[in-house]
Amino acid sequence: MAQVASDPSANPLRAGLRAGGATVPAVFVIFGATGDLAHRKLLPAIYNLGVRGLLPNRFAVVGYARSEMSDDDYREQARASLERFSRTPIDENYWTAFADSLHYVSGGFDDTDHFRALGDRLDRIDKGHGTEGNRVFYLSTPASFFPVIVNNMGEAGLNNPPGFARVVIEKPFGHDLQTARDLAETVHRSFEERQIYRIDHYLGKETVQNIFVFRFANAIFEPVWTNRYVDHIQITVAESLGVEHRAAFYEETGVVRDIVQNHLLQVLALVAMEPPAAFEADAVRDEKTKVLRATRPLSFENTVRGQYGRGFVAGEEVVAYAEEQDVPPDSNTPTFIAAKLEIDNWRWAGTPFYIRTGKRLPKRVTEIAVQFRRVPHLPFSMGAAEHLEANSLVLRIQPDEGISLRFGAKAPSPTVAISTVNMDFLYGSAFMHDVPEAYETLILDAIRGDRTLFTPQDGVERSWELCDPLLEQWRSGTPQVYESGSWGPDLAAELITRDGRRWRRP
Amino acid sequence: MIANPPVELTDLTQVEHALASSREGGHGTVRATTLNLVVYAPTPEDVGYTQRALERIGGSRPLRAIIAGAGHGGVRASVSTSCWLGGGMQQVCSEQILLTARADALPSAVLSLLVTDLPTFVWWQGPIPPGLGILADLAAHATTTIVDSTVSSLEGVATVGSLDASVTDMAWLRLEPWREAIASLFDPPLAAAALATLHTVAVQGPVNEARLLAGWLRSRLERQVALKHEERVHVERVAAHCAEHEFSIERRERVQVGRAFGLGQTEHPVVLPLLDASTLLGRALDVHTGDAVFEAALTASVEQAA
Repeated sequence: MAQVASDPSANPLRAGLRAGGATVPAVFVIFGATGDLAHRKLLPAIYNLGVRGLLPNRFAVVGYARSEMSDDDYREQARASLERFSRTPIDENYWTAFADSLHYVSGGFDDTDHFRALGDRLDRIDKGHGTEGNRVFYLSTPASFFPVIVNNMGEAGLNNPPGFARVVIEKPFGHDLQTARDLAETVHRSFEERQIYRIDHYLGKETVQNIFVFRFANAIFEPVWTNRYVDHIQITVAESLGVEHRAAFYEETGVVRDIVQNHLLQVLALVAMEPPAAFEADAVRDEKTKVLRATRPLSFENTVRGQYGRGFVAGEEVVAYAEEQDVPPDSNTPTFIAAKLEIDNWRWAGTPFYIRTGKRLPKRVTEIAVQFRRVPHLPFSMGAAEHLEANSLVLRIQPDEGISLRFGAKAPSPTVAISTVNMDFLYGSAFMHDVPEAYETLILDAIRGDRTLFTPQDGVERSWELCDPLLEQWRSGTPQVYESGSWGPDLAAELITRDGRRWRRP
Repeated sequence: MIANPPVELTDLTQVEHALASSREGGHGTVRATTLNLVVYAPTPEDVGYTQRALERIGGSRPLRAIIAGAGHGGVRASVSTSCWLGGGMQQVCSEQILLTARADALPSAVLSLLVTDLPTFVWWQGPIPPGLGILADLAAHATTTIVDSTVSSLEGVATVGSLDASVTDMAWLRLEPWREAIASLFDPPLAAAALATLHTVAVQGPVNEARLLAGWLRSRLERQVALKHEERVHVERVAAHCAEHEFSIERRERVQVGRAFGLGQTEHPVVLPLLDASTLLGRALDVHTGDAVFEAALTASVEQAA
């Protein structure tokens, strides 16, 4: 018989309490508990939520993986991970309570009996910790295991516990539109869409969420956030690193699947979306999906692809992509893309979005530059205003998160001479709070049942619809090699200069 | 932390210039300041206590602190800045003005030094004086007055609550983990039903915090709840009695984790941090509007005593 669940919202003592924390008891189950992600990110995130008092008081963590291990062994491993990767040192007083909440179940991903055993163990943990049959399942495994895990969860009834069941899935959500649909169909056999939390850790970053606040909490920006005043927008996601140890993965992925289909289109949606009625899951996700629906797919004519060659980055000589370990010398995998995107709606028609992202660029930087139109008439002599640039507003997401506004000011002189000046606001100079890791934000949201920062299936499918035609066209031809430490191939500059514009130098 | 040496001044019109000079030479820099904090610190010990708390807050809230004390003779100010390095070598800087003036001149001197149009907090550390006195004058310019009913009285805090500025009570913030733990005990359905029969709360802790907890329960449940109190330096145990059931939370020794137990649940750990002055001050500075739950709890606490 299903037990009656806690309902904190009906508790009169809760008024004014825990605005940010989770209150409903739950067990957090990690599939792939011995993997890198679990140790580097998930356990530290859960620990830091707990030590800040943000987890429910009745809470437990269950690690699930193939390795044979006792609860105590798992606690020792968890402790070692926290010592290495937690952003705060271990608090010995809290550790004792946290360790008590950690459990481990050994089992394979392809054996339904193991999942049934997990279910039995979860029932016993419910009794011990008072977690009322509420489950959050985190699939911290390679994507190839997702189908078999969710199938077995369904077979073993883990999708239908006494309380709620939520499943958190890490990107990639498919390899293209068809595989994304296939994956969704598989997951939907065991879970309803409202139970699925597709995590893109990028959206958990404080700085990305700040785009919302900047746009929708300040009256001065939104009125000019339109094609009437904005000439164009540039979004840059630059990495100085090469492919590192991810060559095998990257060969399968390339820059579009790695960055554009998820992170970059999500940032574009945040910048271009209409104001949601509320900062709530459905309202925000609907507006993001709407603007992606109005966006034209990436086209061969409006894109440039590149692959990094040899060069110097920050004074260090680096090898070409084709010379990296595990990369075939004749690889055609693109490591850079520059593209012009157009959005067919009232707000943005005629105002293009230029995006560029790549590896081995001069520095690591993510920024959104809103380039405004010039004034319709300058009542100054040409000489006075010859150095005057158009206004721009730059939202820097990383590093040195902040906002810069570029405008003209009178230079001290007996005559009228106008200079362009930058006014910088550095986020870190106003707030030096302990910034939570993206995984802390997203795990807490999953426990609380807040899907605002997670990607819905229609958003995933629309992102693939925008990228698939280009990926198909890119199956032939070769990327242009660019020198490591440059801002990409020469053709990338031409892509924007042909429109009478130029890339910013971040 | 990088602390710039203080500059002594007797002309308050020079304060802004001195602070600007202290910030990277004072030319063309953009500063970030989020609030004014006015502290009445009548003794050197109070000044030291304030400065230590501000130092521990560090760069989390760039602010202008005006530490004011009454003295004889003309107005005197000692101004300084302290900066903390954040990520990307960015500096978060706070300004500190140590101000002395005759008691009757102090409020106007403070007013002249507030950064324009920012939230202003008055932190009153000691007992609340009868008739409020200079506290009322300082609070007249504030958006929020921060007091501590543990070192003052709940009746005094209620008097401050009658002023225009909203009131934040450090004792109330100190009790927040306990209130969270108590509320959590009554989430399960069996316990929620028992809440309707809660008749007594037993608190081991400071008397005013015990009274506030009882007042909170009375105001939230809208009925009488008796208080049994045993004096302790910090809250150590709270037990809520509902008909024949006891719901209890206990912090063993001075650690930040306790145990909770109640109907419909197994004994489980709860986080009960011991919050120091700077942490409490930091939290108080994050409260920008009145807290209706606190105001109702305070009223219920005071009414019960009367």
